[in-house]
Amino acid sequence: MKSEFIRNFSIVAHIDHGKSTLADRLIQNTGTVSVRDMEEQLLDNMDIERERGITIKLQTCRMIYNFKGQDYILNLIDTPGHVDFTYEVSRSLAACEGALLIVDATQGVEAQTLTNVYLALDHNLEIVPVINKIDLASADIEGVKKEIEDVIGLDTSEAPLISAKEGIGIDDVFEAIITKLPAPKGNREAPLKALIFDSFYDSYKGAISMIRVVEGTVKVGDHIKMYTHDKVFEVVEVGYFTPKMKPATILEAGEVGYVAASIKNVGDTAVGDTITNADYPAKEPLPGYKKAQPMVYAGVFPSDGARYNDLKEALCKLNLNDASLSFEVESSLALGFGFRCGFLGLLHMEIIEERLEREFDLDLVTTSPSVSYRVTKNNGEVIPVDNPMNLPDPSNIDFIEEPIVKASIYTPPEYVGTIMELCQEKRGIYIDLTYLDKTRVQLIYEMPLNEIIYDFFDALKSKTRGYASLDYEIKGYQRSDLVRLDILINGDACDALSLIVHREKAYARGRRMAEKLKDVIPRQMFEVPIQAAIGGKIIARETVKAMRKDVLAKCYGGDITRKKKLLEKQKEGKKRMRRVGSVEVPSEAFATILKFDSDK
Amino acid sequence: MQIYVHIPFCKRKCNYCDFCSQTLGVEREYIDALIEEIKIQGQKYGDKVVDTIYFGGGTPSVLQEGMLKEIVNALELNFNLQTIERSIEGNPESLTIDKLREYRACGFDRVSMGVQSLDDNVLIKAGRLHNSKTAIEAINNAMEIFDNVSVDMMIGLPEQTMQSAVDTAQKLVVTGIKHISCYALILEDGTPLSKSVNDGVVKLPNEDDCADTFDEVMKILSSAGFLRYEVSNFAKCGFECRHNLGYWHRSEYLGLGAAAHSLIDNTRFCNVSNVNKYIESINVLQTKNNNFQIIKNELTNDEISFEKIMLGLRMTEGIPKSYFSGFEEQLETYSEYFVTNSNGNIALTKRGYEIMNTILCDFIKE
Repeated sequence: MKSEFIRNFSIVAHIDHGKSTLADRLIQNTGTVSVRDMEEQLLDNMDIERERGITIKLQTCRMIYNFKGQDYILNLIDTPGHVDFTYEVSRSLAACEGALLIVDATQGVEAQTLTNVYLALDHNLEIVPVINKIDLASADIEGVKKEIEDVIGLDTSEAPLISAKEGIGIDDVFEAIITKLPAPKGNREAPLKALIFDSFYDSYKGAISMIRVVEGTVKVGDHIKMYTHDKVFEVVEVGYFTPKMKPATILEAGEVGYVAASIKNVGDTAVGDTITNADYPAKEPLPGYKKAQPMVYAGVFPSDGARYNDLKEALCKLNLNDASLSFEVESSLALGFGFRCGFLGLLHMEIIEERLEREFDLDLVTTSPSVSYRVTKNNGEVIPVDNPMNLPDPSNIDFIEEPIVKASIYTPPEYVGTIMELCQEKRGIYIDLTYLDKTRVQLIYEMPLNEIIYDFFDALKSKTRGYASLDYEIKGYQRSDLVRLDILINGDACDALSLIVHREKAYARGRRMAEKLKDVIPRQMFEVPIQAAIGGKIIARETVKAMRKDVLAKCYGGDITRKKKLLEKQKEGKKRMRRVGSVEVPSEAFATILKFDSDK
Repeated sequence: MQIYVHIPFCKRKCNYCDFCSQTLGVEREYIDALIEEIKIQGQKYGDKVVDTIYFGGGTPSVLQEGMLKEIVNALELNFNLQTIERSIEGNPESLTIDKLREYRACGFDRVSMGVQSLDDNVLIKAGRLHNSKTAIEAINNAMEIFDNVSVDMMIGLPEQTMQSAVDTAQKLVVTGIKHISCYALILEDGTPLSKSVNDGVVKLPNEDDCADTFDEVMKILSSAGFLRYEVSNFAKCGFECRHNLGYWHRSEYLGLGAAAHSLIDNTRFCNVSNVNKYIESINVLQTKNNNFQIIKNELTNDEISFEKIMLGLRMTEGIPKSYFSGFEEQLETYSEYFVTNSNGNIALTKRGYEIMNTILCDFIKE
């Protein structure tokens, strides 16, 4: 197929504006997937995604559409819509020339609408606005059109008006894609340059690279090589997605598809890398991507220490399909061996945890999420610290800086007061308030990231009955009076429970943790003091009383077998406990403590 | 060898009970089956010398007069009885003078009575059928006929304050009885009481209160001459229950009747617990000569070593140091909870008794 008849595009939108539904319709209308095989929201093929109604994974699908007698290849690259996954969106955008921007006619422009537009513009994509859900009673087509023009600056005079759910206006979308989005450029005679924008592991074919061929061609039998290393592979299969993998003879410049080359090691097909022909290599690689910056860190440990290797394997497998997940080995006195993982955000963290538990059947204990601080020591050395235990001794610290974000909150006006209170509570600094229209206000606050990562989003939603939306971006680092809060159990510091918090918040947090631990730590053979401390200073104390009775009152002839079993069960229970010094703490206790909300 | 006979009948089930027992109805069939079992087992174990007999339940005293005699006769005929102790359990409301006389005539020399509390309010809440007055009467009756009378009391019952338990103990120690068992209530799954507690309808005294109450009661028992010889058992000198001591010394014992357990030749086995199934299985046995025991467990050496410690340490007389061979590390770890007796045995301290389970867990070999 000639390049001029190819279109590579993404669909971007705020959550629930109808991205996935539209993707379904496009696939359905082009007959790419038979009606029988069509499952609602086909492209969201992970259970978690379905359950939460969000997209995480990138999916790609080639469709064929006939417009005015000419067949066109339309390559759709699906993208996630949550603030955590900005990086994922940017990868798929780099493979496209254009994007459909969907705006819900009943909601208008929202936080991620803007984020995605800016991202698309960053990648020099042509953007076509599409107005969805026009069939609903509360749809305000003219209002939304005006909003798009005013806030984003896009011309909406020819924007397709659709209802993806009802299948209205879909042909207009196809027409817009074909007439408004540019065809890919690229010389098919030039040496091969293909961008790896994603990859996944197939148990039969090995690591599969999802590529956008920018220059040249690639076919079965070719010897290819990646720019970041010099390993050479022989192409076993090329093809495209429907969305299932379909082999083809050749992939040419302008096309999107995959390459299988018996690549055993996931690390050899790095996202962002350029593939070229080993025999006739291109002189320079394509510009790479920005490496994703983790925002939130947490220690992830297997409940059963023996499954450390299973966890390691699982993280490696997830990493193949999720380049934004970072991890390195970590060990904790309390929790044993595990990993310090970096996530794009809390949702990312929750999803990874859920996938580890579900897909790999792992029982996990995770520490409280934390951000990466910048510590300037007295000797001038500046070090990053994302694990509270790595914070240097306070006497060696000159000052600590924490990441600050610019938070943009979109809300109906009636909630502005509550939201401002919430932001203030979270050490936010008011920056700006704008009325986008009668029913929507944009509030801008600068806030410390560590106040947001935990439950800010949930609190925001619950205080505004779900109407508010949030977007944030890192603004920089700022000096703060931060301290490390330690928890001592029977005098021994429990590393897994340590936190870096703002000094003002430390007292309340420490008290609450001590109270909670008192309830959750079972009685031991001796009395156990629980203390919260900053540096050497104890700021809160609770006591777990010693066990009074743990004895079989009756044990006669008919009881012996049963009572032996009870003791064996008790012993099994003790084996699953974690030891903090001389105190036995069940794994569940850690999970409870680490998940409890500091401000509820 | 010791013999235990189970009589699984009660007038009414207490709301905390999870023993094998049911209301009266099939006692005739049951006794017939029991006697059959005695004949069968007599064939196997008839030449072992039997030194103690214990009739437990349920409430053995609910049986009509005459029925018990049948069972005892069968035992005399089929086993080699040379008993130094024959105990029978009963409840105050069913231990009439006539029954007591019958038991004496059958050769019983010890009676054990379930009193639980002498606080009428507590008794009602626990679903007991007697009150404090009938309890005291029954105790006095028993003492007229028997020299060796034992009473069970409980702490941790619903609405039982420390004062109430202390009161009960004080009253019991002056009755002239020779043996008192004092148990903390154990909430068993599936009992009506556990449901009431889970639903929040009934409140039980908390762990600390129960422990304090037990300590107070022990003080009273001890100053009245009832010496603790086991976790929950207290007796005047020479009146310890020999049958039960046999369990903790791991003597061989044969259990007869529904749910009855046995330890013979270092193998533990037991009978089916459903009364009707038990009756059926004996009848089948007559015709088919099958082995009707369920759950047969030949003990390994490790299990035997552990049992010796688990059961032996229940007694204040302790166990010989040799029992701990292979467990030196544990002895060291928990040394503060052990004490060496004047007879050279190792026993638990008072605190050791309180947290015995935690200590024992470490003695279980993987």
